Amino acid sequence: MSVLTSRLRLALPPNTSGQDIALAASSQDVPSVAGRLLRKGWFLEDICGLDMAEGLALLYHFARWDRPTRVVLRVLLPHGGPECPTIEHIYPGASWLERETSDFFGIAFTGASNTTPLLLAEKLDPPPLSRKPGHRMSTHRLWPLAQWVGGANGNPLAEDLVGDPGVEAPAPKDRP
Amino acid sequence: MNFIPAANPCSGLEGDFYAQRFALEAHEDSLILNMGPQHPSTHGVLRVILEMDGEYILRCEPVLGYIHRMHEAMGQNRAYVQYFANMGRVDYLHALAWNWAWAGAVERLAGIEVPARAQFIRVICTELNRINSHLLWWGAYLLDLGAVTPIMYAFEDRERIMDILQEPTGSRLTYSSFRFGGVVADISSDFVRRARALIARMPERLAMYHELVTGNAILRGRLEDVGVVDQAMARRYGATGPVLRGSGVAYDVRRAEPYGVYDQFDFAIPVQDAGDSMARYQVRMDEIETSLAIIGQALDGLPEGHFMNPDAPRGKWTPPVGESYFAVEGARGKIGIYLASDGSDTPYRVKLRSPSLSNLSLFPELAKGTLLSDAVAILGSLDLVIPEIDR
Repeated sequence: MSVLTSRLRLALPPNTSGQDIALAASSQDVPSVAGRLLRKGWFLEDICGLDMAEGLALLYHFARWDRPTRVVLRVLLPHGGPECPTIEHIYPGASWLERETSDFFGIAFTGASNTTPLLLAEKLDPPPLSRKPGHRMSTHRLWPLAQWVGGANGNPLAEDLVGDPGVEAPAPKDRP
Repeated sequence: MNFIPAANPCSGLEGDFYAQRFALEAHEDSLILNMGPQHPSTHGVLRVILEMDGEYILRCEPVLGYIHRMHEAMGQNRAYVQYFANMGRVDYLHALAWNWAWAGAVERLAGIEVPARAQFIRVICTELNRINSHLLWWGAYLLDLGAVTPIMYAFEDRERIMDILQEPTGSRLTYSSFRFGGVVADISSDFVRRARALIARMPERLAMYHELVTGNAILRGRLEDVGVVDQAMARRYGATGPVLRGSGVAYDVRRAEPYGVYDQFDFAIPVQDAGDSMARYQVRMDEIETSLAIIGQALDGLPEGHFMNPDAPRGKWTPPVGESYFAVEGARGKIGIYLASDGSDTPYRVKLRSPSLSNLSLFPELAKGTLLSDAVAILGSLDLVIPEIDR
């Protein structure tokens, strides 16, 4: 099992979610997971911010051309100074999605080449889609199902995701 | 709420904040040019800043947000059913696809059944709307390229389709006629008769369109080998719809992730391998025929029954706690809606995946090194709807 796989938490969302598997990762693992998904033929559908009681969540939705399936990569960032490494060097299409998420939730994407607001004219404080502390939902309510760490646990899709990782993508700072 | 002005490291340079920032990386003796937001080929409100070396583009950067209306914030402060009105305005050209995405996301979350007749009505209306979208694209694209007449023909057909769609939807452009569990109105025998007349009429019209335009040497000279998108590029940018199918990938959400009753119809997915602007043109023209075939089959198989689930929720209502993602095939590509519910009568979060945004995001890479006039041909071939990008 690769080092990255041993750090991933997996969960199976309910059928009604339209998501087949959820991967939970720490923010510094996002570029590595994205690189692995690109090599395995996944494309990035969108990046969705979500203001939860435990922190600011980032949901990266990935899909495939060859079969009907969807993976969601969940990252939880602290409310104070939320930061996440960019994946624009892996999926260049992520650049605008990250800038939009930055506009709406105030999340900083470190290493990004362009951090100007995309849809808003200026940065707003508080960010327009953030919620007041008393109005945030708990992640335990939205994602109540059990997670497991590391291996595929017999799930074929998870097997595909965690197996044969190949060369892990370099972190942004390693790029020339 | 406090407004914090964006940092300005470019004081002393000409232009607004975006132009100044763009100019920081400019080469000596190059020209910075603004294309849009008031430019006919940017269809209203897209602005592209270009760095030019003579007639050639060295680099460019689209500037978005001129028609941003914060649809996602509006999703968090109104009842579920009220949000249909927004869906008619995200993409005004294929409003019913967005209607379906919203209805689908909520129906999937709450487990609401949709009667078979309602499913068929949805298919017929959405495909009519798709044809209308492609017709407008066809006319407007050729207008971008300097041909003034075709849009007149396109609008003659569009008017007929809008007349047909007006009956079940109550509108002519910004449709918001889907509801959770069905649609707002049934279709009549007169609707069926007029839709069949359209199916009988369109092959002759499409043949005329092709004779008038598609084989034209000037058009082919302007589109062939211009703006070639390869499959790796499409994957990295998340391109979908005709842009992706013009690069040889037969990916269509109606087939790849069937929703509604699309799995009951026999239809081809038009694909072209060249990846250039002409390929995207050809894919859309072929898709009009595909939509006509689907509508014909749906009219033939239209079942009796309810156009609305009698038990479906109406007015203010609370779905269960949870999340759902629902994708549909819009005229421009994959539309996706992520919905999170906290069990209250307003959504906790609505995220709209706009196909035009991903399709446009590859433009800076595509336009690099091309002639400015080719950039117009490339932009038009992406079939952008700016309100869908800005949301």
